[in-house]
Amino acid sequence: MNKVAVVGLLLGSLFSLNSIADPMSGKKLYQAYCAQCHGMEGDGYGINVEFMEVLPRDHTDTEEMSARTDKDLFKVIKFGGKSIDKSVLMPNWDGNLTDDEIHSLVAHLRVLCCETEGE
Amino acid sequence: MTIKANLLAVIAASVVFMTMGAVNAAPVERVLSDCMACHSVSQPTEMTLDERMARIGPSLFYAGNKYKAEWLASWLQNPTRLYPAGVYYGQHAVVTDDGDIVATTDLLAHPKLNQQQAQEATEVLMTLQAKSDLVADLNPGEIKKVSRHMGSLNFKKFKGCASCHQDSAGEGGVSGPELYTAFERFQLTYLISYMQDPLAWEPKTLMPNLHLKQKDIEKLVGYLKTLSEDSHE
Repeated sequence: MNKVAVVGLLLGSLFSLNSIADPMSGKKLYQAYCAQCHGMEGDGYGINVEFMEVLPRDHTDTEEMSARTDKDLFKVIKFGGKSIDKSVLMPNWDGNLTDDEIHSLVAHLRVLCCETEGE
Repeated sequence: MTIKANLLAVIAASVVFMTMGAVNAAPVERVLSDCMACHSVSQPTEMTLDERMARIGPSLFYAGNKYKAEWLASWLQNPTRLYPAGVYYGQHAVVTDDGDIVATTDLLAHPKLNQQQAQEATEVLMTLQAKSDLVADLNPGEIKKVSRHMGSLNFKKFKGCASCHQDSAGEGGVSGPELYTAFERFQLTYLISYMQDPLAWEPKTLMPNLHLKQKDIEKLVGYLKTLSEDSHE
């Protein structure tokens, strides 16, 4: 592969990553699919938690969330809690969400956990 | 749609239902136009997440493949709340210091129909048979009841259904429809097909496809049957 092609491929990848991991579309997806358990503000206290035996992850917990890689987060959203030896109460969303949408959700999780207001 | 607009839609639908009989329109058109205030009665060309999040009533364009006619006619005369947090919970979830709660005062009641209106509406709704291909080849045999104890364990711990659904009044998740009347409410073929592939019915459903095996589905449906029959004993 010549240099021009390599540079083109790299640039293409950059643009592609930028377009698929959109935290704003991730926010809407979060409000639709995740907030019922993880809370409208991501604190782990959604409307469904009253009868749960395992509390959903607090996505605003910077320390906890920093210990998770993007790859882990992608995997647990796509394949569910069982895929990382966590609770079955976290279902697999592979049927509902495309990989691009899951990347956007991961980007939104990074906003929730690790960006303070105003940033 | 705002809560105010939702309320106006339901009031309008209630007024129309109350004056049914006085309106000189064909029954089919009349019923469908009443239901359209809150439900989609024809299959949309495209279902989007925005549309799903704006819904105030479930889709009815495949009602004839979904509901049992007997249940529908009865429920329309005495409607109970099937979605404890509304059809999209986000419209009614309120953040508090003690966690998110459902603003139950915002939830709208379904108009109550008299016997004649309910029968007429049921007859019309049962003609809405989109998605027939999804149930055409299903020939479920007798569903065996599952013990309440084992069924409950499966529902809550092994399959995680209770995260979003109630298996008894007031117990379980609230974002999905209650399931303790599901066996009475839904046609068996719909229940099985929906559990196999919920997205085939509703591409933007908030229900995940859990890739359940046939045996898993039979056990879950068996539990719903147990809940239904126990409630009548």
